[in-house]
Amino acid sequence: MSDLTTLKYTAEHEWLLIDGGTATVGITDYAADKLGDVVYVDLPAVGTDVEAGKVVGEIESTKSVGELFAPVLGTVLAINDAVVDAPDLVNSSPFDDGWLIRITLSGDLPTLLSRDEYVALTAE
Amino acid sequence: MVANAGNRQVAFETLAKRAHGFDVTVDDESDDTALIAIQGPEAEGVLDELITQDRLAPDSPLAELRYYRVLQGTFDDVPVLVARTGYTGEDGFELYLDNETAPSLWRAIAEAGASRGVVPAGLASRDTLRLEAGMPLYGHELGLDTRAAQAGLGRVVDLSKDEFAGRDNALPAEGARVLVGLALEGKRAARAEYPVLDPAGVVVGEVTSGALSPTLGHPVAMAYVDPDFSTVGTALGVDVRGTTIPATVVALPFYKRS
Repeated sequence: MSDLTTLKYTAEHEWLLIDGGTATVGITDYAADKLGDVVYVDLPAVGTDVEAGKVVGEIESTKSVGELFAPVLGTVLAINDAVVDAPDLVNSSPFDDGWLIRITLSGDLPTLLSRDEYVALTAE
Repeated sequence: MVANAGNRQVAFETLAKRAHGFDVTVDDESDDTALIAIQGPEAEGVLDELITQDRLAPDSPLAELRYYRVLQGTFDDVPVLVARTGYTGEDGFELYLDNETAPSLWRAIAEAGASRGVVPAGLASRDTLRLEAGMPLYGHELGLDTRAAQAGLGRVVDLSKDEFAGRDNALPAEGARVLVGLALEGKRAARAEYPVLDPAGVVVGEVTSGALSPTLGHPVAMAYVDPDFSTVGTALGVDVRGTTIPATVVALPFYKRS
């Protein structure tokens, strides 16, 4: 598993692994657990321009349909085809094999949460 | 009478109006009454355990209580009404008693049932079970404008009686959409209000309830469709947020307890 303290987080329960000019994005174990068994993942096409806070996809579980928000400004560089084929990876490996999209960053990063800040948020 | 919680006021007002001129009083005891449902094949065994513990004392044997019948009794000497009812499609009971004693009955059931797999269940669990059992729900399959025959409930109205309140509305409506079961491909649920499409993509109905069936492993839904598309085996589609998912009309219920 990735070192969770090296990741950044959003209040919409996404994690980001920022590596130079790209960010890999997924949803947290907390969010995956709240959603329940994920049965469908809809991701944006590679090359799509995304903007922080905008809906770029959806994650459907047996219980409900959740929206996937882009956490940063940029362009979709890659999507995780494995998770489209096997959506339960979001539950079984949210921080690794269950990653969703990789974004080429444009401009400055918005304010993101540290691990401690995110954990504090979900403990409320 | 036990109304759907959302219909409490409507049911009370309708009855109060009807009672006018008769030697009848209509009281709404909802705020003073608790209802605990214990559902599933082990339900009778768990209540038997409470009888053995001398806590639950039904006025007549539980084993003789038939489906949709009630009996009186006591729990810890407090009056309780035991009904062999529920909205899960399984055997089970609903127990009515005063609010004050209800937590104690809840704990007694949880303790006596622990070894039999009794767990607390929320509304989503109940809703999935009633959907699999093909049971229509007010606000989804049923509304004030729905006629019994449309919802597959023709059997609950005796039209051989000449006159009764609501008789006109119990008659089947010519050409009206009828309730059907749909079995869908894949894993995505058809949820309430999603359009039902014919093979040409024309809207011929609307989903009223849907879920990925835990028992069957595929999505199931109930929907109102035009009568021409209501025959079992008809190939239809459901518009799941922009994607048409293939669906087939199937007989209700989706699942029947053995």
